[in-house]
Amino acid sequence: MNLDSLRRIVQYLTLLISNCYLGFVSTKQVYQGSLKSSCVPFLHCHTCPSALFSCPVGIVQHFVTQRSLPYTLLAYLISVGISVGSMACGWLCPFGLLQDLMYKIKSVKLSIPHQLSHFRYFILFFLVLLIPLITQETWYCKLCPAGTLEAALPWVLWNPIMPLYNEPVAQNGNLGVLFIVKIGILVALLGAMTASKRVFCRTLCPLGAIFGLFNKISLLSLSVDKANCTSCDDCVTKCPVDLNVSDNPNASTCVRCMKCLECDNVSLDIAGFMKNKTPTVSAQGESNQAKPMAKES
Amino acid sequence: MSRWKLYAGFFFIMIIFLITGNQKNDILSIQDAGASMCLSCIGLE
Repeated sequence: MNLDSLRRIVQYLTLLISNCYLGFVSTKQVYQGSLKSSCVPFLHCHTCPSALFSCPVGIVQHFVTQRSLPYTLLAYLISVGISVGSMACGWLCPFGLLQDLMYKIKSVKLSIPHQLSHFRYFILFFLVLLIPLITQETWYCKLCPAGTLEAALPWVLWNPIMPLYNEPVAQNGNLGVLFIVKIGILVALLGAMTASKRVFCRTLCPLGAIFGLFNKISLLSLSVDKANCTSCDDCVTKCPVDLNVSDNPNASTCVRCMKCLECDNVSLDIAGFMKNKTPTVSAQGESNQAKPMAKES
Repeated sequence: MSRWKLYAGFFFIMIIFLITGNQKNDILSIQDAGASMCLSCIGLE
């Protein structure tokens, strides 16, 4: 089994594990147990009927609207970032999995300018921090396409009578412009996902923006043997975020999917001590030069 | 060496944050927030 197949299995397992609360069918409520005190290291709405854990971006906003700091969550995000950088984006995030699958649909393919990745910091600063701090409303959650897909659509389509209020979730009057805007954003994004690789991760995700800051300094990092690199650009073709791996293997937009490890010139470095591949000299005196990556079937 | 100083710095910040978070009962606040229906997420007004 190659690394990419393993990553796909891990992505599906994460989707399954983070959504294995089935009690919502009878309780008509989200899960309220002790696991909700833990956040997943990826974007996954805690108002999703089957969600077992909390969403870190939703929790950050909750604290910001209360005008306080989520110290424990910040410590958790720092520990994930400093350990593996944005690896959770490539290996765990269900919204990332959706983007990987949507891109397989045959359509016009477009590349995204790298400068657009800075827009994630604009979203993080204004929509997640500043505007919620001023207005005391969770504005990123109001517009989040992951929330629309995982929480808004299931609850509104199902529309059960909630025992707490003895009323259905959606009634005449409470589904208005906001819901239409949310659906519009989701539909536009789903279309964009078929045309560009990981378009949400690269341009809009505030959590990816946080983890991306750690890519250059994390314990787990990537390195390129530039002396042996033939600039064949196979790594660029295979990269799910169109990175030029030989120029900047630890860019902030990298999702650490490790596809570039298929090239012998790219190696995994753990805390500067361990590299999984090092150019060696064989017994015949021939250098263990880089082999180009296998053609994608 | 400077890289290890950076890691040590982050480790120190993490410990401070964990202690402060524990004093402020962050875990309970996270559970309360995560266990409530987020009307913004559903898009209700």
